[in-house]
Amino acid sequence: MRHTLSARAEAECMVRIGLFDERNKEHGVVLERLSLTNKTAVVTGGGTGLGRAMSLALARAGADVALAGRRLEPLQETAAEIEQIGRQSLSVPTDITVPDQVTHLIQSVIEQWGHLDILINNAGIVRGQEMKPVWEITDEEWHRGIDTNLSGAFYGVRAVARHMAERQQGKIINVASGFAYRGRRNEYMYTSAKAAVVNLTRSLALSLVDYNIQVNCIVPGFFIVQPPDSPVGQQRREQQGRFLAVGRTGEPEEIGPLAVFLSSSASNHMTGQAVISDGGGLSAGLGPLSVAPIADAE
Amino acid sequence: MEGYTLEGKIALVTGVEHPVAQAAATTLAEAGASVAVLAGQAGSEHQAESERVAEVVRQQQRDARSYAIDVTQVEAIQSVIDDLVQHWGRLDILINGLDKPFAAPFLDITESQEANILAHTLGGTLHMIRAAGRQMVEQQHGRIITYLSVLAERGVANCSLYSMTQTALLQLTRSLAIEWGTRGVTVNAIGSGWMENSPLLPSDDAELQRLQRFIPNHRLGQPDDLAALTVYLASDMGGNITGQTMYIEGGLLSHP
Repeated sequence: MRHTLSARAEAECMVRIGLFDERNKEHGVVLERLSLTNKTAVVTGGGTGLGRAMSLALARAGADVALAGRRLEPLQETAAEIEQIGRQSLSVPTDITVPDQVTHLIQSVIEQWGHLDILINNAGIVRGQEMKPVWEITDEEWHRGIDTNLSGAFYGVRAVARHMAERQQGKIINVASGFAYRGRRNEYMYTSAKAAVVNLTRSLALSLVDYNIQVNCIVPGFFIVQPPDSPVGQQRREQQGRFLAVGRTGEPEEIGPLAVFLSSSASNHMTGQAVISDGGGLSAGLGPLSVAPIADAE
Repeated sequence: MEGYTLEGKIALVTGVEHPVAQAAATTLAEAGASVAVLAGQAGSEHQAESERVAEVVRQQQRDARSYAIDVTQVEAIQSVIDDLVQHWGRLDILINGLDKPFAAPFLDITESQEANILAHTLGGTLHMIRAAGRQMVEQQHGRIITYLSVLAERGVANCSLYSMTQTALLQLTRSLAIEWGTRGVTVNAIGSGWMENSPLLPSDDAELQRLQRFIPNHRLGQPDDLAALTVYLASDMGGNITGQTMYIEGGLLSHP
């Protein structure tokens, strides 16, 4: 690293101009790379909330989407929406804390569709139990929290990675939380597990990069999944939106295009990254209002 | 593609002498935006380069304007924004691509080199954001996206000054996100790793190969790599993301 701007840089400029001419022949094609036609995806927790929004966005981009989750009913409802879009869907009831069930999920999708290109590890629980002092957390509660929010993602990747490696292509998206980057009083499992998901993403990215598998993470802040016209939805939007820089909570649909990008070849140079969608939440946090009084430097 | 539409939006892309900014301009146009492009230095040669990119945008059936100004002159920046707003009525998107890759041992950096880098990359971007931001805050809508380098996050010998400008812009991004959050203006950054044709790449082939082996996906970044994410952040669907810097760097930052 001994270069300064020099004759060499000048020469590079000339090369760049040539390259731009070369690229111009195919300009206007970047966004076509977002297409997911002929791709298949598994979305855990795909029946509701952010998982549902991501599943529908993937389907609209052309993918067939298998949905996994504990309860069959929401999976089937979302599956019906995917079929209305004109894509295929599978509903696979799955408890992601049970490794065999996750393996079965992945295998049955591969069996059904012949290949699996995209895995979105979205399932998790925001609060497994009431928040309480650390000495009251039982072994069972600790393991349940870690398993649901961390181990489930690991089981999914373990089950699909060899298949993707053999095909020399794959996209894995983990879903963490803003609490991956911040602590929370009397919250242990969720914050620990989500922080681990971010770093699991980095290690997987490095481990799978030679197989052309990209692993990234979506980090949602406060999103309200209840419909805007429901009383609970309205109340949560108001309460939580007040604390965010943009003055509002996120809407699940806003995550859709991001999931499509990370599932598509348009993101092939991106791996190991966490993309944070939190209305400015993590950029702030130094005071209740995140505003300093005006102070003149003179 | 759903969520990736910029129909009716007005964009300004600066630093259009660089390939990533050129790719941003043509991809914003692909998504439907009208695009103004700006080269960061004055002069007929720079105007010609800027105009070449504008011409490509016109070939894409979008409106385009071209500028070439000395971005160390605050008045020149303001007059571009004024001209643009006068012509198109608003400004929705600012892509900051001003860049002067620079590497030298800290003890050898001259005051004039220092002033040059600080005035161009840092000052130019800062003043561009202020001039564009004033318009965006007034119209209660805007998207500001600054292109950075992974040097915002890591130290590299001989890159002290350049790194400093990158982290400074990252922090500007965070603070303005908070300041303008409720005004409908989001402020983000996208960082790249080692890019094709960067003047900071080793000139020695063996050294370059060694570097490529070190990059987890073993390839240099290409101008188009940042383009799709740029469109998402610039779109109406990108409104919940602000204050963030995300990197498209082949896995470099996950590396031990």
